[in-house]
Amino acid sequence: MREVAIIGAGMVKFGKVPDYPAAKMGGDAALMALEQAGMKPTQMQATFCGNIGNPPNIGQRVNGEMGITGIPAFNHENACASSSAAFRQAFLSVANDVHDYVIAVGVENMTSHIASGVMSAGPLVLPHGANVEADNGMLMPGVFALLGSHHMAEYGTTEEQFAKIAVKNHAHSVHNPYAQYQKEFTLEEILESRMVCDPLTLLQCCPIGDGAAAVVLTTAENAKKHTTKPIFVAGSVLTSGKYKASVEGPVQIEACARAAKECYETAGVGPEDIDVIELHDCFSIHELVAYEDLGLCPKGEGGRFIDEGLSDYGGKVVVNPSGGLLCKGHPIGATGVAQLVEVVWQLQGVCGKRQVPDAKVGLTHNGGGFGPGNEPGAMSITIVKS
Amino acid sequence: MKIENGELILEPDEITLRPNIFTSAGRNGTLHLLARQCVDCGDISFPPFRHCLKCESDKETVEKVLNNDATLLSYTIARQVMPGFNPNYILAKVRMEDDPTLVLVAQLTDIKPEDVAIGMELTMVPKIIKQLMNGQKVVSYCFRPKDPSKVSLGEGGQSE
Repeated sequence: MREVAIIGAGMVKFGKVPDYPAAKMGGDAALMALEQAGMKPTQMQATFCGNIGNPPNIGQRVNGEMGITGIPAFNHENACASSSAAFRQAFLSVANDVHDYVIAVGVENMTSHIASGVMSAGPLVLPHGANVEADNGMLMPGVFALLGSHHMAEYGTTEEQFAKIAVKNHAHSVHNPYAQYQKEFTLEEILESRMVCDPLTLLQCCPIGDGAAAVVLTTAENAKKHTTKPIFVAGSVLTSGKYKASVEGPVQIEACARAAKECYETAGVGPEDIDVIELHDCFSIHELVAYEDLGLCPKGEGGRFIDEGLSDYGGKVVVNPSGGLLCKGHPIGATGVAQLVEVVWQLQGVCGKRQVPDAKVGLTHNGGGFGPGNEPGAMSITIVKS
Repeated sequence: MKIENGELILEPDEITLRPNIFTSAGRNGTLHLLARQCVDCGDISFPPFRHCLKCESDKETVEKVLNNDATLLSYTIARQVMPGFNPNYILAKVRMEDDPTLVLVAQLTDIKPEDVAIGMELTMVPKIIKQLMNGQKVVSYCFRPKDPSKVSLGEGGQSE
């Protein structure tokens, strides 16, 4: 396999913009990524696009907005990990000598398709196509509330510890002009916001929003011709939840632990080497449990990890400098690539006030869909290095 | 909805969450959940799978009547809910006694929220959980405390 590098990254500001079509958002993010790479749309040989609910042939529509036609477009749906799947295929296409220059895009206009009834809330529950658990009253915040309730009973984790994650990510978002919300909250304000699914309060749940993000990929060798700051893809893993794998033993998301282990091995690094992480904090509880599953701390010590500030500036690793899904937003199909955009910018050192000092190794963690036994539909881990 | 001699009798405007999830199966005149079991590794699935996803056997699974008993693994109160549900139901994960790897997501019923305790013993009871847009009421599997002293009829479930 050829070594692959990201040479440009771009995104639009996330927010509620029902009249900003998904394809247009995708085109704008792609043009920004291409500008950073110093390349023209016509130099792209293929487009890989993640999306869930917008019109068919979304990648072709994004190409149209970039001003190009006639190149292959590969459109990926993998719930909240849709554009991580698109990125992985883009990576594989360059690594395996199929294409030399490709663009991976994630787009979602949720406000328009929720309004039109295309997408309804509720979890994806595997492996049944028919969503029995959702029909029985399961909700997306319920998935993580039940995980949190179990974690509290098993390890003594507290509501305050979950809420501290929201305090941290909201504080980070203030310095991210691309975030949907840029507002700081106190621990009391987080805890006293409206209860959604105990112990999850509103400010610990990601918002509905719209957005797009894009990265340009080429070989490590070609990258030198275009940028002085190529970011190398050191590891890329996409897997699926395994039936009943998380229902016995520790309170965990087994697929996350499995994907992370494989990705660390491929990249030749360990959790202690990671400087910055964009983590799938759809709900605060997910971030705390993922600290453990990603190997940042031992199982059961996620609460201590946030208490001691180890996931913040000055700690062991900065988690969600962008504000994360909680504040930057979670336009579903855009999220995976948007996480990569933030990590690439961090490793390029262009993040201004939210810059993680001396960031050299970054990781993205993106899950898509969750079943009754904490098994995700898709789980994607990517490690990049400067 | 009522249970007579272990048979679930529905009113004309009632349906079950999925077809064939309940069975009387000739067991003491009580109603049970109908699962499937792998003939090779014994794994029990509910909702039922045609093929075992645990050992990935190529043989089809067979019907298995669950004994209805479970323990509470975790719970939350759903304050904001999907259309058709009444808010503030207790949403739970329960571990079935027949197979400790079988975890179901269901509502708790006939219990006061302050009496709910992780690890408590539960038993299955069919209840109406929601009303569809077309007016049909959906009967599904819920769980109530096995200890009669913890049962508080009408609490914690959906109004009927």
